[in-house]
Amino acid sequence: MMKGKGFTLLELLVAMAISGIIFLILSLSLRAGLGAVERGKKDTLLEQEVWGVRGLIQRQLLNAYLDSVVYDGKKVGFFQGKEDQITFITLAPVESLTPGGTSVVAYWLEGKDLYFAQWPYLRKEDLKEGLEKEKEERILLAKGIDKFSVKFLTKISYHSGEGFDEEWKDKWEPQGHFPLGIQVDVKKGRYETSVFVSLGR
Amino acid sequence: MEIKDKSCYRGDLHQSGFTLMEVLMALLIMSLCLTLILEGLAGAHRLARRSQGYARVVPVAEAVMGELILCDKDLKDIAGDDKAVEKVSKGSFLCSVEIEKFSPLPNDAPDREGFSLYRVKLRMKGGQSTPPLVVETALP
Repeated sequence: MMKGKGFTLLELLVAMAISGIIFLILSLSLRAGLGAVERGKKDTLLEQEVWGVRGLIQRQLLNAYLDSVVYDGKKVGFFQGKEDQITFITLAPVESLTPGGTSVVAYWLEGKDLYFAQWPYLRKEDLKEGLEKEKEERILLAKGIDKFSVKFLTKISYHSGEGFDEEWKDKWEPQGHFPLGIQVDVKKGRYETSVFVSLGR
Repeated sequence: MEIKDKSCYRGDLHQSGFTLMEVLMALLIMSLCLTLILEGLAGAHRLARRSQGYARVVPVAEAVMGELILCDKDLKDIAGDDKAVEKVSKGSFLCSVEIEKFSPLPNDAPDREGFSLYRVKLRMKGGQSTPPLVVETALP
């Protein structure tokens, strides 16, 4: 009777052992897959955040106001920056604060926090007044930034077979002319990108 | 209905197993499905890597092109009335730059020779599985 009706103990044990191994493999793969999805999500968010910052800076630099303004009683081309901060006038503010849409924007790094400030620029006023005060109304643009560096291209030429001959400065004060180009490097975690904007000769 | 011969449940080869042909067919279908799934996964992985490669290379290509535009006079001198190919390195990236004089006007246009531009074509490799990124501009 027993022979015809059911499984033997050995058969059951073998079946359980096989299904146990299959479940183990499946759960390990599932865990690995879920881990990869989480890592992918984090990477995508990180990439989006860094590209967002890069995009904003690039758009505003490409629309930089390249005309003279009054700064400290003198007519200058306005760009101000050093290593981890930059201030300039742009025609592409985040939201237009003046009828012409001309605004002063500043980006700077404090610890690992990247801050942004924007205030309207009216061409009659002296820019130096209130430059620091306006930065008090700041927006935290991104947290955990490992690197935010700014450098200014002052001289460039190209020689066949040798490549570029460049001269960069990591500090710029408002003066009678503009830098030839600006490079901003942004790094967060393992994601790093840079933006170079040529301001022309 | 009473079943007289209970051996038909177990031990009877005609009832309890698959034929060799059935097993081979099942294996064939399974291997086809697996091939398709793996191919799809490999394709997705390849595209993801390509996208990452481009994300790395686009800012560098933009920077090199921006700097080349600033050196327009040097490039025109190098190309002269013909064409020149240069190898330019930027950090760990290497790119080739092609500078060529051309006229956008038709061949029979009277002022064709007097109106010419320089085509600057930059070709940069993003990674092993990424096709080269090509950026092109024209200098007056």
